[in-house]
Amino acid sequence: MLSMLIVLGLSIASCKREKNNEGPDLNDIYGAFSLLEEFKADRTNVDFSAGEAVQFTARFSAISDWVITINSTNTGATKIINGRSNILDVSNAVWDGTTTQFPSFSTGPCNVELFLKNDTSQGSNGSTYDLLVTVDGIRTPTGKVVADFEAPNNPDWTIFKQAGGDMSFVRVDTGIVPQGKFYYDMAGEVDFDYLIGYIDFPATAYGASGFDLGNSASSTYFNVLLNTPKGITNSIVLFQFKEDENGNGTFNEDNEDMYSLELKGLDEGWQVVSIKYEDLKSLTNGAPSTPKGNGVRNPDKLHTLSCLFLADPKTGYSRTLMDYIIFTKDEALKL
Amino acid sequence: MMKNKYIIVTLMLAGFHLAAQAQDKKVWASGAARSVFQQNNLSVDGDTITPKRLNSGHTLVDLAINAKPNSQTFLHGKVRIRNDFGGFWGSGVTFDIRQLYVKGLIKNAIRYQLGDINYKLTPYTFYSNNEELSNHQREALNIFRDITRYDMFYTDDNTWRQQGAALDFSLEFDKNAEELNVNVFASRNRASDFNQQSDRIFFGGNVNLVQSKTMTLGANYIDLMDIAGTSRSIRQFHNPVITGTTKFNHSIKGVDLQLASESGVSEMYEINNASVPALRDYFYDIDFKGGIKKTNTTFKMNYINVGPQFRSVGAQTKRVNFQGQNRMYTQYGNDQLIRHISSIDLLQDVSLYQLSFNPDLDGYMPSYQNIQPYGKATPNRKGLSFGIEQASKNEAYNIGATYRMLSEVVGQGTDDLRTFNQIALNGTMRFNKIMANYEKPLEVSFAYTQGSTKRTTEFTQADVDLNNSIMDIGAKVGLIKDLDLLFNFRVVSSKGNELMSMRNDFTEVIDFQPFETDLSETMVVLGFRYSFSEKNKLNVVWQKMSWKDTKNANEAYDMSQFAIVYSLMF
Repeated sequence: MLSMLIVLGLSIASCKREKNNEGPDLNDIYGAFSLLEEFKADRTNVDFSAGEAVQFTARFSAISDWVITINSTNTGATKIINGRSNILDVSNAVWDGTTTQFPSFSTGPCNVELFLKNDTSQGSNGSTYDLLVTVDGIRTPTGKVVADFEAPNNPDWTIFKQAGGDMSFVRVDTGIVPQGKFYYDMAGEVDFDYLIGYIDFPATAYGASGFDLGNSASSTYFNVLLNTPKGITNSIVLFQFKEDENGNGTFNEDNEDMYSLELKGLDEGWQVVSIKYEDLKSLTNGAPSTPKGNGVRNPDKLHTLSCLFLADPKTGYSRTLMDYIIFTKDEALKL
Repeated sequence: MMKNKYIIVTLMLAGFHLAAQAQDKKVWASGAARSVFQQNNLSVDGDTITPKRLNSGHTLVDLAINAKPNSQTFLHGKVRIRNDFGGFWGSGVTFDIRQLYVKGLIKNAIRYQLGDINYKLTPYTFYSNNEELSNHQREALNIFRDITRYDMFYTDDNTWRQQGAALDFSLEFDKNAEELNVNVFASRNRASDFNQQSDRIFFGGNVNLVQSKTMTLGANYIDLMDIAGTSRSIRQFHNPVITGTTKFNHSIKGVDLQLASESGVSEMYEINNASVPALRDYFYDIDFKGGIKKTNTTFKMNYINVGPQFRSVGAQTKRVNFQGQNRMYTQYGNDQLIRHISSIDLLQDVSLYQLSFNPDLDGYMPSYQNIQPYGKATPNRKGLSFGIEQASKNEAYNIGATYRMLSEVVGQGTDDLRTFNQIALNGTMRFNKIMANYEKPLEVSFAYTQGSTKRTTEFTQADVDLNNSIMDIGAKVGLIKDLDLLFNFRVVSSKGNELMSMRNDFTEVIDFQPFETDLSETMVVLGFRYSFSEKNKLNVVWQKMSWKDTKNANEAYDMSQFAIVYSLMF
């Protein structure tokens, strides 16, 4: 027994533990706050179309919640970058021309404001610091644009709407337009079916090369701008990705894959929805199901992209606005 | 649904057919039934939005078919048929497979069980710690608590319900040692989504060498790991834990002495994910117990040291998901704020409880438990505890007291350590055991737990001073034969502040969030229980809880509940 106790004691004593404290140092959180390096931008003019970005810098004596708000004086577009740290640098405070609150930015001057919650030099509620940055060129996302609704509808698209009430499947240029000058308005009340209407975007509508997405499902992103108006809670937007696996020019729902992206309960206002092609699900009536074909996500074999606008017929009128459907490579759309 | 119905019908037909044929009980039915009706009332000053009254209820039957096709095999299948009140013509009826397993004996030597298994190892490896506020449990509170535990497969012996396989056998020796017990298990903890989420399995076991009545040695190993190739993700999560246990027993002049220990190491890491840090740490736990037979008194002393990076998912996953929302009165008040989880919800809201393991350290409510929220396996704790228990030989009374004095192992953001102190007292007096010719129950019980957390730093904002207390007074009075009056009065209070750890996806502390409370909860439970038999009871219960936290934006409220609970086990 004694020998076992000795062994136990020795084994415990042989364990070593790093004595590092857990978490950030309290000095960095609760120490006296001061601005060690003033709020600056690395350029006053930026051309996002040339791949430029604005890097903001500042350094504080303690960790603080901070918010950088960039407002376009021309369009009212807003970009918000926020965080909690004691330094603004390339890791957390870079503006690449993207938008938080649509419409998108245009060329022209932008007011930039840094709000520091823990800085009481201007008052107990925090302090703000301002800059001016001029946009000389806006972002031009690269990718395969399926629809931006700027031109009249492509005649090769198939557009269907039910014979319901207050039906609307039209291009619109009023209100906040997130990209370009037009978006697409899908609305209506159908009391006999979930389906209100749909648009089919066949690969053949885009010339001989079709969608031209390549075969990497892990580097292909599907993106779309959507807006569920205030008070609408019943809308369902279902994107279906129908693959022609045998290359015979048609999609056969019995033996070829169809993947889906079902969107419900979207927040009010314009937002970018993005998903990696490899994360698309095989769904049947909204429930996961086994793909009918080879079970491999093949973006290069995408035959038709369908956008179905749905709502529970018991719930009445529904509406969703849509713009800028685009496939991008390697990263999700930043607009 | 249709498929389930066919399964149920098939099982029932097969069961009854075989039962009719088998006179020696090779096939028999068992199960449970329950019916609950509740009327809830919520009272909030000035609230004109929330419905004042909510009625709900259900009836359910758990029907099990047991089969013993041979002397070494046992099959069990249980289906649940549930009908929520108001679901007429079958629209509110649900059918579920609740439990399926087969167990048996191979060559009279190796026991096995396949399917649903209840399993545990040690408090540091595989252990379902009791839910918050349940250590004072009295019969009046158990009426709903038992329903919740039954539905969630929680047992008093702290096992976790898993789906998999278990195997155990023993080897007996002629000399040097008495026997070697070997237990192994494997279960599937998460299914692949065939995309980025791999199959996750939990497996392990232990070996116990009983050298003699004096000495037992053991080793435990568990690992929660992703199976490569079951999804398109190449990442593989691992959380292996290995521990050793010792137990020495000795008796000196009517005093039984026991020295037990457990110590071990854990790792948590992901293969093929360079951004995830590997967490490694160790713990040790030394336990001394002395029992005086003559006075039926037990003294306990314990020392633990659990490292800040000790991770053991099977022991640190909590029963309660404090990120969940109450099903009853989820929102209330004119601002329709989310109602915080309270004592009454912990007793009866099954939706707040969980069964699958969570590699994140679960959130917890510091007002209810701030000292060891993950049980003995709580990371970053060290210190001593002392306890004493005494029970009269005629069961007339039992009393107990425990004092814990713990601290952190390393500081959080500072070298200044939090200190934790807790005193817990409990006692039950059964007057019917000392009153001659009085056979009906007549007992009074008391439990009180007071805990404090303190830390002083150079920054007053980072100082911690949180005091919690829970007090229960209960009674059970037999009115007439088989009819008992049950009573419990509970007061929960929590006052002060904490600086809660914010953790990233890999459970590292990355920030702190202030928490301030002045919580007061009082709950009165009054019930009548009629016992048709030991396994068949009818309870009529009224309970009322008052909730108030002056440091919280949520408004004070009173919630009362009248319920009829019928339960039958067969």
